[in-house]
Amino acid sequence: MRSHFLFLFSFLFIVTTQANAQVFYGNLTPGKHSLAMHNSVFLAGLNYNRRLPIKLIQRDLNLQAEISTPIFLLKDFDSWNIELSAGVLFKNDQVWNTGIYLAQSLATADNILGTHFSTSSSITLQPGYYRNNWFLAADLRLQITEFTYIKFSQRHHDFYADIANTQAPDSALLSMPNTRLLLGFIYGRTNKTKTWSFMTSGGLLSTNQAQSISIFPEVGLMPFYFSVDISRHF
Amino acid sequence: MFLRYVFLFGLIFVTIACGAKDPTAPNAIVPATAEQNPNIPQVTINIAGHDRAIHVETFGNPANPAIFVLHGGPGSDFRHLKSLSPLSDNYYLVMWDQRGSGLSERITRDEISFQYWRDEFYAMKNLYSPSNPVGIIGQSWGGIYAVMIATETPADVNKLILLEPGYLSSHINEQAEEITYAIHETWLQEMLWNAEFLSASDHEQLDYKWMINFDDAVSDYFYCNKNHAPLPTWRFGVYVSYVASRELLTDFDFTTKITDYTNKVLILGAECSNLGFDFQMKFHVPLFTTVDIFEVANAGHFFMANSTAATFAIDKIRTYLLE
Repeated sequence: MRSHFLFLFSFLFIVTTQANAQVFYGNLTPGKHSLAMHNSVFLAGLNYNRRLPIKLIQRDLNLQAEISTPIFLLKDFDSWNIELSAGVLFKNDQVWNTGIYLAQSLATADNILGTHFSTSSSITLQPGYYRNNWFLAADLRLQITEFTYIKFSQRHHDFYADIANTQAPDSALLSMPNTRLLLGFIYGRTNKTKTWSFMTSGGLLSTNQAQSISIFPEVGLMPFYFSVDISRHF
Repeated sequence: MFLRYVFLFGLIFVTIACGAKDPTAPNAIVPATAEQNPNIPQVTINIAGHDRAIHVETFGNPANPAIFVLHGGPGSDFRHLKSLSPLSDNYYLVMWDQRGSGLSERITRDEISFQYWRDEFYAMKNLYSPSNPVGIIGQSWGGIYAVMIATETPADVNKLILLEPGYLSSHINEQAEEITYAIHETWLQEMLWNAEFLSASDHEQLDYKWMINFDDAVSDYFYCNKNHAPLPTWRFGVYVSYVASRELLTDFDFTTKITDYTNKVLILGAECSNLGFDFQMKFHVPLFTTVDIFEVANAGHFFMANSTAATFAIDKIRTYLLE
């Protein structure tokens, strides 16, 4: 019976950098007026992981909090972002395996026009080759943002000034379904004591750019997504 | 236990869903456009087979000589150019947000071309000064637009005032210091954290995203100080701006017939701008037959939003108009 209640507590420190450097460099360095901006987004997070007591299929409950730094010098873009997520990983103990991760997240971010809160659901499939201390798998993720709440700022209110009989909303709860697909590969490794782990993933990210008004009909996926996670387990 | 949580989550989800608005609803995240908001002063014109609502304001006595004010962008609005209104004591000022721009109705790809901008100008002229030539004040893109009209039909334009006009040909653009609006780029839009919840899948979200980023995106080009006051604006029409900058303003030349316009031209260039006084002296002044140019000190591209600079500019414009 005791084997049915195997618990694993771990706290992970995650640092993720998205490799946007070369893209930013090429596009935001016009003539002498280069924008000396930081060209990566850094995430730091805490991850709490607990193995659920199921005999045949490994089910890990994963609670995660992440905070991203602002894009410096472009203060109005996104000044900060915090994301809380909870998900469950299903995976059995075979070498050829498929990890399935279901997650629900709440993200909040702040910019010059307001403070946003949004809820998202995601499903991640990671079919691949899993050994004791490493794995290599495809990384397929579908994320759907369901609702967004915006508390508008004074700057946003200013846009509505001078328009007769028109009031700026103080806040809004919006249905903004935003679907993103990520296709890539993921490689992970832990040391023998399973104290440290390293994981890297990269691939294509779908875009949602104005497809309904045909701005970017040619753009569906872009080579964009890349991350490195270094974790310390306690 | 598990089913209880599923039920609770579902209940919360449905409750939120019932109270959530569509972001494309009028005024939900950006001010509504003219066809959505009857309180906006407007006219309807038919261009490219489409009736479109145009946000327009006039200042002064219609019996006075008409001056049309063309805003920048494409995509911007005339809000910061309302500081020209003191000229309405002697002139009839007509300001409008171009189709797809500001608070005017959004348009589709097949309605965006230089020819249709010409048609729009003449549709407005037919409404506000059908019998007489007009003066034009054009700012930035509006300056390009003004030169296009003045050089093709010089008899219709008796005064031409260019406030920091954008480059008048793509060839000039290639020689000049590049100005890049990276905010249009897909990769940048997707990279921003707000892409998590703002998809830019419609005009409202796209315009909203631009308005988050606009002031910072152009600070290095158009302002003396990065900590400048925000530009007075209502709403930016990103779609028309994107199409124009990607497809139309990459290969054009409005300098070929520029000597056909023989009236004197007034150009004002700012001290702190990539399209400022130095740029105008080097690239545009030599093109015109007769031209006056003045530098607007301690101001940037949007100097009409700066009260001191606006006073200086209006003084120069008055002098020019009386000549």
